[in-house]
Amino acid sequence: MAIGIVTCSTSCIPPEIAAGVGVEIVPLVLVIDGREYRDGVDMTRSQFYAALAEDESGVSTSTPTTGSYLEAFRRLERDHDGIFCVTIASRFSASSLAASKAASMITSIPVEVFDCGTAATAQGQVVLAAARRACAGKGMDEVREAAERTSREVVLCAAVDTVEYLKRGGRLGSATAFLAGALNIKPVFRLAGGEIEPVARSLSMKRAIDRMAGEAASASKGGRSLHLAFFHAEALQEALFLKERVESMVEHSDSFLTDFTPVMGRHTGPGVVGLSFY
Amino acid sequence: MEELSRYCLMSIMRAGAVSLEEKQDVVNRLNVFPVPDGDTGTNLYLTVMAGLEEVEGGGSGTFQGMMSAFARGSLLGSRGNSGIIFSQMTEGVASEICRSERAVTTGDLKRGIEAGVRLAYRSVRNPVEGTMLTVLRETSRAVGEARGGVRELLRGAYASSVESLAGTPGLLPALARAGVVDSGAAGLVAIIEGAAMAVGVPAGLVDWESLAPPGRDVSYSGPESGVEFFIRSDPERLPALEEELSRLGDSLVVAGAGPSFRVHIHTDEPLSVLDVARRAGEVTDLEVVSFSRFREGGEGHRRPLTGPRVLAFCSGDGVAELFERMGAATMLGGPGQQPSTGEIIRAIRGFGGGEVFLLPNDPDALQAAGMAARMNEACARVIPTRSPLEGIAAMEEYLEGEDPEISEAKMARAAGKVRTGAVARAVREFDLGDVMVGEGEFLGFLDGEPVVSGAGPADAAVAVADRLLGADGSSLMTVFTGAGLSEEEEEATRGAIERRFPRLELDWYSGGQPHYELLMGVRKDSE
Repeated sequence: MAIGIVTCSTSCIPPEIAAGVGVEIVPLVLVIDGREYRDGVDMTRSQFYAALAEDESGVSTSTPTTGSYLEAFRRLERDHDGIFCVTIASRFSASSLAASKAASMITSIPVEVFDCGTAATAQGQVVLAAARRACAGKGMDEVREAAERTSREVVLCAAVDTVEYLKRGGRLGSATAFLAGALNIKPVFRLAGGEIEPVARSLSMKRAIDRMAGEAASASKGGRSLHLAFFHAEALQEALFLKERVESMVEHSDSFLTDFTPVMGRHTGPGVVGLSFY
Repeated sequence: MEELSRYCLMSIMRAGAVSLEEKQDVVNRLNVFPVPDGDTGTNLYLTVMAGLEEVEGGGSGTFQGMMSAFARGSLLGSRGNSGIIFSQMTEGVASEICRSERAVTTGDLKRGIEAGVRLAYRSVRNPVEGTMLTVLRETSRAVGEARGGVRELLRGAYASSVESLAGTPGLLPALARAGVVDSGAAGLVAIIEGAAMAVGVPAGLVDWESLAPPGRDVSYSGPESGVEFFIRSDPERLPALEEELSRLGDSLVVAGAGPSFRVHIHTDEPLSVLDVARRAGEVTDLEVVSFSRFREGGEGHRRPLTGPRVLAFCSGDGVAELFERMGAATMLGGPGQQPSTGEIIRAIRGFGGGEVFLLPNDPDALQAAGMAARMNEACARVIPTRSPLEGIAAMEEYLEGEDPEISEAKMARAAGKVRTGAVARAVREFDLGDVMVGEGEFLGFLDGEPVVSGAGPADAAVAVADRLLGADGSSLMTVFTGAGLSEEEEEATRGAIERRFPRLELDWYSGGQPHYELLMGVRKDSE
């Protein structure tokens, strides 16, 4: 008997990898013109981004329901000693509330809900670090410790193709000044330690990608091996370039490429490319 | 002639300037690499002119006053490294002789020159021998040892400077390889030669025409200054004046109803323009607006209250557009159009106070930028970018509202991570041992040093890229194409690079820069 791992689909873990380490993925809810779809189940991410590009106003996302967390916990309840559930940073979504509510309804085994303070593939890497411990038969303490350490160390970088979505959504905040006076540039952001900060304003997407690769390269200074994850929203070519560039530059133990989570993609618009590493 | 009169000083200085004006092109061609981007003669000449203008506009009666005006003018008007060194020299002379109110003697002048040499050496971070500095130092020693009056002093200075100039290739291997003497040193000798001639020392120690290797076609059209002044003159004399002036330049405008007329002309010979005008009437409010000026129009020229506080020196419209797109203010720079220290200071003032970051984007603009930053009461910080590709990398790191110390460090670090390559057409044969290039062939540079040659721009570009990228070739290379690259050459070059490096991504822009057919940059993270 081992620890079961649950997370929401904002972790961007590709289904085959999730299946390989036995992670239960609870789908986010995508809302388009008032109709609800389960992220990755009823609707692909390409379909979501196509709808977003077509008409932003009718598109939104919602946290997984308490019911869907409860379903996942129930599936694991019978043959596990405990459940460790990793949720997206509460500043981005209220998933941890729904998960906690569902956790309180499980009484047979302990269920821990962990707010990982990050999102997207960085969240996914926290989940996978925990899952690898769980697969090795470790107990709750060691699983939690792996998740905590990874969430502290993981860095996520993303470049957006256009700042229009961020501007319209009022999500730019202090970053507005950072873009002042510049036309058609590609801002690069960094999410680490729970904080989003602007990193650079690149002349082109290619240069933004090169810049992000540089972030990974400096993290691997001294030959340190990294865990890598890459993501994109309808920008596969760019993401492949980033992946090839980083993989050729840094030692790495594992690496995957996936679609960007609609929770954030809703606000950045299509064209986002990025990576996370630790 | 133990004591120096004002009149004497003025005529000596003007003779020096005229002599340099005549030899400007030769000095420009004294270029270590056979790429027609030499502008030492022009930079030095404009610096001297700026000093003279200040004297003529200031009208201070004393010798000391004139010398300080000259020093002030040449400092503000200094451009290029040679101009800065020259202006420091004059500053030293001025500060020394201005200590006394009495008539200035040759002894004062000797001490002044010694002080000037010290100041000039200090102004250069890493003084290199075999340059203008060497000639300054050796000449000042000869001056110190000279007996007699001003004529003997200048005779000694002339002879010594010529000897010192001839020795420069022996001190700097790059000069010896290229078969030239140092250009800044030659410019200085040209000034001294003119000054010596003014007091009756016979010239002829230097065969100027044979000094510079023949260079074919210098692709940029010659230097151009805009000269403006008011002239009080009899209206009947105006047609003759216009006639004479029109032979010295173009865009001539003579406006006004008299008795004072405003004259504007674009010319390569501002001194001759002035001579002609003086003969026709009283000249006031003289202004020589030379090459460098703010680029006119364009988004980046407006200075919003928010937005990047970055001033980028740009050569090439495409390059300037990229900097402007990123929100930087731009001013004309690069070979042959370096901004003067005074122009940089005015541009910094255009930001209305506060911190300003300067991106010189050219090795020869670093000193003028540094000088402007030191002189300006506002806090300007120079990010030592030696190429527009380093400049862009630095610009990308600029974040609004960040602590300037942090911004400076980040921008400098990003610039330092760029390895640059370049391809330029050679205008003469060149033999560097490992690298040989024929006239009209292409020379490839790596971080400013020539490393390869090729029959066409494509061959040279591939060879440079080979060295820039290393074995893997998986990278991003940003390329700015120059004004001199034809469409066919551009297509062939891009195709050749893509075939040779299938894993390479190219970020390709039309830079429009003169002299360099291609500027290339690669970010080096692994080093």
